[in-house]
Amino acid sequence: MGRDYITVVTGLPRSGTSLMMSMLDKGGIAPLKDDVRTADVDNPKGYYEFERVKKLPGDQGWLPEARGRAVKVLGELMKHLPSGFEYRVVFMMRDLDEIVSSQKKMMIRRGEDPDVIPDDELIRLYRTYLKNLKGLVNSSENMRVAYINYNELLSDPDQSFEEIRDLFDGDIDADSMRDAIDLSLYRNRGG
Amino acid sequence: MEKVGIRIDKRIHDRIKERLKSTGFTSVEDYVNYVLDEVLSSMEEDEGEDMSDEDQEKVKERLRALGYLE
Repeated sequence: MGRDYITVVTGLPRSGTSLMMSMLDKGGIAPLKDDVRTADVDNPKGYYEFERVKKLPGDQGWLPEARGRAVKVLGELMKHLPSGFEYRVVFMMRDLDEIVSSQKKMMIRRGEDPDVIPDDELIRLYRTYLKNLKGLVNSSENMRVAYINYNELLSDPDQSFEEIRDLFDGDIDADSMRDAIDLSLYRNRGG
Repeated sequence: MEKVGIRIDKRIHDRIKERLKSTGFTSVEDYVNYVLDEVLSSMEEDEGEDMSDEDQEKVKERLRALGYLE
């Protein structure tokens, strides 16, 4: 399809970034991933992560390889994406109460204390954090962005598909993307 | 919703009252509430907020605990 940009899927953990990666994969944008972090109960279909991303800003050698593909970049690392590349960003949003609830379940499974930060405080922090992150993305000349709400994506996918199609100038198979949505999986686990 | 009383210039009050005729609002109070809410939301959207180093570290620590950050 000749994409010369890097597709980036970003957001907070548990905002639907893995689901979006799998959707883009179905839609024709191959993921850049290494399967170091394997599927588990929190992400039964896999994490779609590429470990070298976590080495930003020190390791940028993988970026040329990401051209034409989709890579998951944690919001915290977005500021380290270098200029010299064009990025199409799918920014996943989700109800913050749901994000925090889902993160807590994940932390318990990882043996971490989920209550180090009270929920109300964490939601306040995340709200400010996301606002600043959006500011960074919106003001970056080499980034085009679509904000996709996870909750709306599941309840009314067509609108989200339209926004994703626009982001890629129609160069994506939205009908196939729909196949990646396993409503039973995402609805039943509540996170 | 709990309300508090504030005082505004009569001149502004009269201008709003005049404006109500071309809006769906029936009271100055509702209109002022609406406008202030809109203005503040817009400002909050536009302005980045500084996070303290301590707050930033709390977020990073959370991301590390979840395994998403080294």
